[in-house]
Amino acid sequence: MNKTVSIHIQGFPFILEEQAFQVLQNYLQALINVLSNEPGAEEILQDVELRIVELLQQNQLGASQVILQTRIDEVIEVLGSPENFSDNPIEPQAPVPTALQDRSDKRFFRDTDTSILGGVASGVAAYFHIDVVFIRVAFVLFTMVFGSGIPIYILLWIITPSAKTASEKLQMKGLPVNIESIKTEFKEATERVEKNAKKWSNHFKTGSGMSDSLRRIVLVIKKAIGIFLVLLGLILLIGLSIFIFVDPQLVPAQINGEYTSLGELSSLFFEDGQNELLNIGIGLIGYATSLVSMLTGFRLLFSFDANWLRAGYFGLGFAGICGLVFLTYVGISTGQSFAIEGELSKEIGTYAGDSLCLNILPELHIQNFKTQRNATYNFGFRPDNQNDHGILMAQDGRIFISGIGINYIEASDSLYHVKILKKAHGRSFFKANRRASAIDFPCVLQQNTIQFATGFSYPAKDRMRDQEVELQISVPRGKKVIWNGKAVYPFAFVESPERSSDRAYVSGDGEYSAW
Amino acid sequence: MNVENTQAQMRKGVLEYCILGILHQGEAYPSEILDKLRTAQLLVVEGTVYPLLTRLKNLEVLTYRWEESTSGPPRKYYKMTQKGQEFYLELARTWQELHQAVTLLNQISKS
Repeated sequence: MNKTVSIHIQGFPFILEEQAFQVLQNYLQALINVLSNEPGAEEILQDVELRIVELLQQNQLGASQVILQTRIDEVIEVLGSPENFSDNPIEPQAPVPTALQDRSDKRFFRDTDTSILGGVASGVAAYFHIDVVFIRVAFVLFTMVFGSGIPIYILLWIITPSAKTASEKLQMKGLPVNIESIKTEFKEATERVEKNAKKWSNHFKTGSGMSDSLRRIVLVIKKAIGIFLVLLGLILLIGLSIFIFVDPQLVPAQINGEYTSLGELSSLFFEDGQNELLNIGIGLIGYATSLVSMLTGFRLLFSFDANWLRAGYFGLGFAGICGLVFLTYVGISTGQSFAIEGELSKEIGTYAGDSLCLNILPELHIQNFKTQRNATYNFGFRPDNQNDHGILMAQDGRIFISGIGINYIEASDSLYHVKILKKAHGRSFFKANRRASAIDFPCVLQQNTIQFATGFSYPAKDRMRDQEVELQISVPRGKKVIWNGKAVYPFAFVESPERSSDRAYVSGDGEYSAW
Repeated sequence: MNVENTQAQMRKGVLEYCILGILHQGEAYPSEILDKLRTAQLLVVEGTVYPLLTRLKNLEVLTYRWEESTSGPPRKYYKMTQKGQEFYLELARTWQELHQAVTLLNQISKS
């Protein structure tokens, strides 16, 4: 009773007795050694292997007939001992390795039998004895993360020879191997060959295999797009789920003293009901898109088709359109609530002196914001001017906006007039004005000094509707406005002294800047 | 120094010329060439032929094309190139000269 080994030689399947396989293997290895200095060694080996196929097929009853060692001996006798292949007849006979198991040299070849593109991944997999799927995924990941997968692949494709002969294919898979692993590997190879018999014959028929490689390139592009779509869908799905269900606090605006989340921010912007509708709309569009992307990706990867697919695509498309309708509605409705601008103004006082001082108090703004947290400053500590509190703060149902505009105009009389302008937008004139009137801006005129905060606040239920506060200061001709001990109006630009600025902006941290 | 070895060397020497002679008559694939050489009793083992064909192909003396076979593996049909024709005529002249030289030497030593 003898074991048999399933192998393929140049794409033709044979079943060999284990002994016969060993002899053939040793013979081919000896040929490789003898031809090692020959420039066309690969081609000669291919020719010899084709001849072996031809000789083995003669007098063979069928592919399933087991080839015995005597048959291999006959074939070797016809072909001649390895030294006959050498160009130099005097060359001493290369020692034939007695057992393949002793050989440890392993070479890196491209495996074009199982390749999608150039067989690089298959070759790497064969060299390290791991599943080719891992290598392919690694290449794709490298490409996505660093973009480096593609140049590495092309480089390996160019510099690595493909394994053409059975011996090279064994070398590629790496020896030493035991007979069991050779057996399983060759069994796989035979199955593959049977499956791809047509492909192989085409490859030889055309001689170039051009159409075949084109088809493979199309296939690999298809698979790559498939993987990309699946990953895209997955990322979208996970990202969307995090934003909808976890709602992380990532936005650098403070609400109740903490970083805010998108959900909280949008609730400051969109009115009740519309905010929910917006979330549902985004959810519908996002989930529909990610599912369609993943479904299409899987279809490209595994080329399956099913009856439910059409219904699935239709349902997801419908959900997406619904989401789009919701978003459009919320968008139009919110847009309408910006349509009308309302402006309220109030003169808070006049001053008859020669110069008016600005006293900008950022701490007033922050204090206003932090009334609930005054305990922080219990021991006489006050916040610094550099206190960074973002553009937007919200606390206990109020929204705090940093930044005040200042507008200087020439007074019609000989008095300074200080006026506060509050602006807001709304669906109607009435609503806009109601919003404007709800703005709280701490500002007083005491003697020659205007004390004012660097920001203002309004109820969060009003939503953010472009609320603004402007300080309008009427300055009599020839008189000045002082900030920090120097005149800021009429402010002369260094580069163009004849031009004066009549607009200024005070940012949240108390910085005064002329336009 | 044994006879067999010398015989092998002599055969090997003319093998290239003989293969080109076969291909001079037209395209042929290796097994066909081997058959003809075997019939002419010029061949001991096939192993010598394959490296020779590849070497000649690399020298651009020969060229080949693949053809599918109904009965076995695909066949490499070898053909002589223009350069090959010239190469062959050169060898043929040399062979003729050698043949004459050997005949002449034999006649001289007989007489």
